[in-house]
Amino acid sequence: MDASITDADVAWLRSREPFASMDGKAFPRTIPLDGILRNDTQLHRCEPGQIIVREGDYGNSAFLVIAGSVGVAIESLLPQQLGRTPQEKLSWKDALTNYLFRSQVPESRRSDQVTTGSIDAGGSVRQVDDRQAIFLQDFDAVMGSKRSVSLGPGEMFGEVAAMYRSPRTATVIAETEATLLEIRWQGLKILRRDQNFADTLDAHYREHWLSIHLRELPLLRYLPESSLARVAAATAMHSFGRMEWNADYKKTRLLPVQQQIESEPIVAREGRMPTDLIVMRSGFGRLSQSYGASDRTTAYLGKGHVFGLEEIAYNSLRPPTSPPKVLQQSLRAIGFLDALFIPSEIFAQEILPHVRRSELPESAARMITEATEQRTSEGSDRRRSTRPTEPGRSDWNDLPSPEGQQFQPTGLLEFIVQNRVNNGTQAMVIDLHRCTRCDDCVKACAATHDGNPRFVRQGIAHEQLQFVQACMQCSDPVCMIGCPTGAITRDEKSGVVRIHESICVGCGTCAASCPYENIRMAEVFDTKGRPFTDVETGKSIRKATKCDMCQSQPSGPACVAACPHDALVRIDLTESKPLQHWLERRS
Amino acid sequence: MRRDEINLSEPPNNDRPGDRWMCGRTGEPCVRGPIGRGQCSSSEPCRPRRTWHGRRKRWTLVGMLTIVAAMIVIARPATRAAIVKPGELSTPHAQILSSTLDSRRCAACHPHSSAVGDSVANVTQSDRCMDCHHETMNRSTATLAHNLPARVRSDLRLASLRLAGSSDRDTTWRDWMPSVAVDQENVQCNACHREHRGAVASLTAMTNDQCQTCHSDRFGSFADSHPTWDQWPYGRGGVIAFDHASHATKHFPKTILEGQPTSFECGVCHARQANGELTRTTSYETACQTCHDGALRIEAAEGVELLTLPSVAKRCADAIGAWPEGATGFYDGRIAGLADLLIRVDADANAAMRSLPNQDFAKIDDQHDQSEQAARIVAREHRQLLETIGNEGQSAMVERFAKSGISPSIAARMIRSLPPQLIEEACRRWFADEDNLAETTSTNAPKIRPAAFKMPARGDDDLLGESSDDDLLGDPLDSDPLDLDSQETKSTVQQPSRFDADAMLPAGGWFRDDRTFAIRYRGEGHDDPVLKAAIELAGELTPGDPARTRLLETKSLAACIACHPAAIAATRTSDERWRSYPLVGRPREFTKFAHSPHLNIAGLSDCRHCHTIAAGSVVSVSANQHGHEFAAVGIEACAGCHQSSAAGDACVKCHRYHVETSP
Amino acid sequence: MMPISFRTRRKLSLIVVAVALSIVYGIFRLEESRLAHASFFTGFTVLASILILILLGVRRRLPVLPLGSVSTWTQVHLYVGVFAAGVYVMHVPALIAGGVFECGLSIVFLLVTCSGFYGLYASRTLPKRLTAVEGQHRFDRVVWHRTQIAETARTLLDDLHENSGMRVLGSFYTHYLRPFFETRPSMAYVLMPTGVRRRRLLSGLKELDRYLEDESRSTAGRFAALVRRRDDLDYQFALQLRLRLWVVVHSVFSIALLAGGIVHAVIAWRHAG
Repeated sequence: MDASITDADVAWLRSREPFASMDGKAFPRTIPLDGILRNDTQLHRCEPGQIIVREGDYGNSAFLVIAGSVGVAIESLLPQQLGRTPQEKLSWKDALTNYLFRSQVPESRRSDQVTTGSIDAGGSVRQVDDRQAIFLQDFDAVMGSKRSVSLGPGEMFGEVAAMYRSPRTATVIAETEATLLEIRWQGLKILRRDQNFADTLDAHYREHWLSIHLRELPLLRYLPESSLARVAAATAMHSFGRMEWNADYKKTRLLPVQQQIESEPIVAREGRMPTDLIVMRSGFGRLSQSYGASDRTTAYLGKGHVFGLEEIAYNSLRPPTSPPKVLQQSLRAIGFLDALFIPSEIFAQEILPHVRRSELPESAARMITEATEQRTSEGSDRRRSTRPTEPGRSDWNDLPSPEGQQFQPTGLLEFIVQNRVNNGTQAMVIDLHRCTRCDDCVKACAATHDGNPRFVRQGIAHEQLQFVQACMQCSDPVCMIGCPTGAITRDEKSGVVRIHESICVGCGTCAASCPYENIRMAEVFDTKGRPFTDVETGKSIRKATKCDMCQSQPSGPACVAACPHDALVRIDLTESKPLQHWLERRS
Repeated sequence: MRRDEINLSEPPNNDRPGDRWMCGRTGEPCVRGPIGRGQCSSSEPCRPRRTWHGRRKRWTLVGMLTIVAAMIVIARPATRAAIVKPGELSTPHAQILSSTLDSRRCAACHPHSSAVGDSVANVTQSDRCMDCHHETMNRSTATLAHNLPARVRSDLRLASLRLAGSSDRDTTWRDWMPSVAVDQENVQCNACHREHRGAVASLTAMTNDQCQTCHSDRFGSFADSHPTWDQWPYGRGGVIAFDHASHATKHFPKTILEGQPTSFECGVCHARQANGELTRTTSYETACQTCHDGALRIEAAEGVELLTLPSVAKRCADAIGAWPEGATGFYDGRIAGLADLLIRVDADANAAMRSLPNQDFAKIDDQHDQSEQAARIVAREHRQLLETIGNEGQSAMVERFAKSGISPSIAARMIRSLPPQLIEEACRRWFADEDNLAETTSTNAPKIRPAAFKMPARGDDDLLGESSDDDLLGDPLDSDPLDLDSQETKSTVQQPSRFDADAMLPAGGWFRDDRTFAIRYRGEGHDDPVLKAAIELAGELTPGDPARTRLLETKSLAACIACHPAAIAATRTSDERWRSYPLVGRPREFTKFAHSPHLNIAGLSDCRHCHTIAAGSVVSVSANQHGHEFAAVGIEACAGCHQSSAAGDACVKCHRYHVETSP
Repeated sequence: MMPISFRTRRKLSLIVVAVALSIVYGIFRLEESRLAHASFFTGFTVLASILILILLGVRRRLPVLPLGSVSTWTQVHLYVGVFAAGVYVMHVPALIAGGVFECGLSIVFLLVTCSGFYGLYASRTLPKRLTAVEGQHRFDRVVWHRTQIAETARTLLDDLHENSGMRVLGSFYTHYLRPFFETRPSMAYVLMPTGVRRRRLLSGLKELDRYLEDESRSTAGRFAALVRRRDDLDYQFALQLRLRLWVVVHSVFSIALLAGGIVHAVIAWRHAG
């Protein structure tokens, strides 16, 4: 990691809780506890008012308070207090004015758009030790008015977000000068080998978060409180694959599909008896069926999807005479997958009675109908009109059609998975059979961004579909990990990831993290074309730029609106349905 | 030789396709790129290249400039007319305008064509049309539908409704259609006549739809839904009464020439002219003379009488004064028609004449004083008339005729060949005392009576014939009174015998009949001018006038009218009364028909294909209503060929739009 | 609501156009038979259609405003174009009118219409051909690619060691490859891209094989790869140029058409009666 952890530091840390009580023997010889501390942790000194983590951030590390105290804001802070400029929609007139009087200079900015942290806004960026940090300006006033919880030495925060790749739930601010130990996700995982440590973390998670996460599942939303508690108690949590999948993405995407599939950690294998209902909490899973000597991808799963529902529901409802169903597909972790496992008995006892029949797969639902002899007409109507529980399940005819249709769903699915574009919730897809290469999309993008296009019309293509290198507002936004000032944020409602340029320090972390190279670091200029430079270093100032889905524009994404031939679309690839519909429409 | 062997680097990905310039560097491009008008701002400047956007902008600019230039060319007044003209004019119009200046050419027809300010207010294009076309069309009615005033149109419409037998028309879906775009009181020429359709395009070609714009009671095809007609094409005012029926069925077959019955050939009379059309009639000489001349001469010889002295009772004759012995005895004689006209000028005489029943002396009750009184007045007026004419000549007659309502021209033709000497001589012969002729009164009547007895004795028909010959040959004014005197003396000596007009006057002329005390005219045959004038004169009188009736009862005149029924129509000109006039050249009517194209068809070359003589037809002759003996040509006769797929059934095949009203 | 498929959309639009055309034709016939000047009606319909058609260009130049997507506008544009062409046929006495100005105007109209229909055809067929060719080159970067290929070819030759094969390859390069790599594709090729050039060069390179030793043979192979790349690039260039050029023709003449159409309308109005 870096050299800030010395052997002395390690020794000192070992003397303190919780490391003092850890049993060194629980760790494998190749990765001893000291090694973990040396490699996967980092000590930070925080000044009062420094914002350590922000609500909504993504992070892959947890923090342990060593000294001093930090405040966890229970209530959300205003974006301005975090140095962010809230997005407001431009009026037609303003949009038009901006367009007509757009700058002739590439990447030009007004000076107030460049300076890191304006005075009147709450946050400002300062150098703390070797890194840049953002401060809450009127710290006392804010902390006085907002309810907050103080955390003292030995207490940990941020581990849930780190472990499960979920947004941070609260903003944490240093109340006094504090020392924090940042533990990376990898370190945290290995530290869990210590039973005590693991139990503490698990207990904390189960107590505070599990029921909330379970409740978020559509399948469980009608469950009574008591059942939910029992389900929570029985639920197991497992992670598969590497969380930092983006690091070796460039290598793996070039692998042949077969090799790639084999390299993916298997979560549940086809043909086995289903023992647990697997609920995807984060990451991606690949559904495949063995086909000949290899496997064929049939669908992919994302956050919130469930696996094995059909089989388990069938098995628990089947008449005793008929044989149970085995798993029809294999589930593999693409890169990283974190899932909850609900045992099938618990599912049958606690959950199934409370599931709407319409939400069950067809075969299981039929079973219920037969068993209870309910009115069929209403039931079947409702069943047909609602969407299946597994949106990822494909019903595409994956054999080449007799009309010689070029597009083969399996190939496309595998291509999407291989290139991880299934991460995108707003992926830009171009139908090359309709695109006349007129560049109107790029021009429109430039028109809405002061003359600067935020994407290049290039990108990987499969058959007639080109996945353009424009930010796809990933469901797993790896770019948001590690931003030192929280300049890159994600809008909760729209899911759009946005960069607040005024607090962007141009470090390039996000651009480097993005495996799709959809974030560009741009040197900025003033309106006359002179570059902005840092007064101290003399280096030119850079800002991270990317597609912001034209959030401030009255028009919505200008690229889509500008395409004259219905060739370009911003589409949610985390599910295959939208793409399927989109393709069917143009077939 | 695999492509994979070569690995080329990706192009720079700072595309800015919306800019006009892009970095011209071939390797790694600069971050900044060119600014403004393609200047590179970096320390080692490159030569920026135009992007497609930039090139396109330039081309668009060039295109715009071209368009502006083209617009300027169009706007130039010198070339405007030639450029703006939307299509060739039809040849006649183009020829007329060829001498006009280019800049004035449009304005010749388009009053608003010139640039703002120069246009003439309230002048329509139709006015411009009428500037030339007033020759063939009345300017005042030019923009009325069918060139007819609304009243006439409505009359026609009502008449057609009556003909159809219904007072209201059916309601069809077409009634729901929007109303016609043209106002029937103001139909512009260009509503139908569209110009600029090329040199050979027909300006007068019309579609049925255009007609049916206003005639919204739609017709389908001609054969199915055209209203039928009854009399067409007959009864349109022929002036010669020729009984086709009797000639064709009776007279011609009966006439045997060279052992063969004569055939009745239509073409003999209705010959084809050079233009293909048929003559309406042929001359008397060609067609009628052969058979009818003899009879006509005999009938014409009956002639017409100017005046006949009535025979009066002795007592009455005595009261009159000088009165010829031969006209004394019992009341007899009818007042001649012409004499009636001349006498009625005198109010007393007229009253007396009217009191005579039927103007017939024979009907006088001689016991009745008043009748006798009237007879005396009328008889005396006869004598006085003769004396006046004898003294004053033709002018007295013309004057008297004029007072009776006869136009002088007809009167003049009537009496042109009547010499006053004839009359004077008659006076002298019939009324003995010629010295007192001028001042004959009831008081000196006895003095005159002996002369009346003398008159027949002195009557010299031969001389009279001579004098009438003189009259025919020369101007009566030329004759010298002295010369006349000598002639008279000569004649008294020579001939006591009666004047035989048939023998003496074969060429016709006025003569004096001493036996009946009449001044008569003997007609010569066809086309006798005096008989024609007499008929025209009768035509001037109101029907029912006794004089008219008596004139027309005259045998010779009746013979004329038998074939020339239109001759007594007062409304016609002299030529129109007698001659059949061609329909061509008459005011334009709603329908038109040309024989020539039809006659080219083999089946139609026989006239009888269409014109068949109706069985049992009778020619009814009257002055205005011309009967005919043909069966009407029905719609079936036309509809056989006139269908949309054959000879065409467009409205304008038979109908005209521009109708002329008779002046 | 599931958006309707393109096929259904096409059918619906064609039906709408057909209905609209028949309505206009009905009114046209009605007016004609009512002795009105139906050309005013059809003329103003065409003019209004042209204005609507021009609006697509306005919409394209205002990408910032939420005026509906350009593809919707394009669909409207397309079918209004078909409609306008139909009404135009009703309007004119002959496809190419008489008279200098009217003739010019009708030619411009036909040019715009034809370029529009060609554009429709091109934008529906050329993309497939473009997709079939390797490499999705952006049009503005074609020159960059071209120089890069030329430079790569140059370095390839420079890197060859001195041997007999090099001279053979060198002379082939000078005579055939350099003119190919260093110049723009010929006008004929741009108008009608064919594989003749590519086949000739590749077979020429293959012919050389027997005069070459291993090292220069592999270089010849690289040249062949470059030839293919360059040919693909030129192919892309030609087709993309075609896709872009018709738009320029279409839009420039459409402005001429609008200007001419307005002038024509004014003239016709003033000369009406």
